[in-house]
Amino acid sequence: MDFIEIYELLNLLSPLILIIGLICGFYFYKSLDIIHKSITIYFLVMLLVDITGRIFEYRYGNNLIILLVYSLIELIMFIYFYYQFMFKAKHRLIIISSLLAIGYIVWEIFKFKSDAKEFQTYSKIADNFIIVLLTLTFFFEKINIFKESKWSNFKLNAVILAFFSINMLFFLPYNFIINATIGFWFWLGILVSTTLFYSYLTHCIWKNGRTHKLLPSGSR
Amino acid sequence: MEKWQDPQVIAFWIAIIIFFIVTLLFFVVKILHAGYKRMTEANLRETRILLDHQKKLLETNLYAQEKERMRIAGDLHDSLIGKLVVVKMKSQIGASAADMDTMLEESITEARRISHDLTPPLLEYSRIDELIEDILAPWRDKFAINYKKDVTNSQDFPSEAKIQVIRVVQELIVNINKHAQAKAVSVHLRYSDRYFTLTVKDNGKGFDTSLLKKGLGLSNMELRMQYLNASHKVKSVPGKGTTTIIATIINPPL
Repeated sequence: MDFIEIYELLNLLSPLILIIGLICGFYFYKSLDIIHKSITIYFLVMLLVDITGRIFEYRYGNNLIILLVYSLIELIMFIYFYYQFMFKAKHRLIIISSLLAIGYIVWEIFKFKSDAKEFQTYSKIADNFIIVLLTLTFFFEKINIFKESKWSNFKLNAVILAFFSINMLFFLPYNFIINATIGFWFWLGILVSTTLFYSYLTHCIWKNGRTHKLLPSGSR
Repeated sequence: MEKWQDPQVIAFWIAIIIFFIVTLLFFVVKILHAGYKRMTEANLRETRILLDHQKKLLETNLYAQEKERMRIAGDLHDSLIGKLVVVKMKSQIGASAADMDTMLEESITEARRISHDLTPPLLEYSRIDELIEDILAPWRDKFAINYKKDVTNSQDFPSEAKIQVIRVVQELIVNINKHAQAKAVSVHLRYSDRYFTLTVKDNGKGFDTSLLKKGLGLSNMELRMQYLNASHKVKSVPGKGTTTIIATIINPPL
């Protein structure tokens, strides 16, 4: 097995974990709480994006446009997720920043050119940056409405913060990643961090589903 | 030329990284500041609650002292002074020496009872398990008392601690008598080198502990627990009796 074959196999790792997560999510779906149901939906969307990306690459030899669409979908999902299930307050500044980021990504989609040498996107940076802001705002909000009881979703939020911060730094030199040979190591970094992130979310879904399934109804 | 080879693009990437780090730092400082503020507020609140509690205990203590003084005054006035007045009157009307002797004997017994009530006799020379036995003895007519002692520590309590434990036992027994309608009381004392535990259990009517009001007796008990560095727990279920557990660690020794 040569280096390219290993790389090809590694590329299958993230859809594989997404599928495992989806199987867990759908198996426990009725027992899951709303946050973990949303993660399952997120997995489904990410898998669809992954498959679409592979189809585009196979048919057109280039799937760069998918990265922009992926950033837009991911950002919208996370904004909805945080405002629907995590935040108590409105955080006007975050709403404005989010709208600006969405506007920027849409603008990048419209002016997209598929020349890999010229392609340098900041959509993924905008997406990750807003998600990092959302996680930090969540921490700030929780600290401010501090109650001496359970602080739920702390770990999940911390993992999202860590993953998207790392991801943002990895995606910043995008043109370098797709053009320079040494950029492979950046891809590998993205692959490892994504795989770990999806594995953690899968574990969360499994744990949540299992715990709620064991609990008698009414005690959730 | 590829984009990444353009110095302007690289400079822009560096600017983004710096902006990202500054944003992160800004949030970290904001979160730390908010956390510190909350922590200070929580500490202040806790201190205030503690002070209020201490004040309440002090008030209870003063009230209990006043109540005890009134009880002693009542005891002296109603029994001892009454008896001595009768002795005086009888001596004035020329009562027989035997009569006078009997009445004086009764007065002495009464004075001794009041004195014992204030401080148990031989407090310093009796061990804690013996003192508890003495406290329970008069109540054996009223309840079926099962007193178990498991004392493996050869060192006795200091007198100041002994009197507190005795008062707690007295308070518990009086409460059982007043409220529990119990027939049997079980007292279990364990005193080892490391622990002192006292369990007082009755088979009375019990009560809902969530509705437990902190009366004078309970507040007094809490004050004594603080003095002993001990903790206590009252467990009760309506219809199933009440259990009070007192426990303290004997390290450092009492």
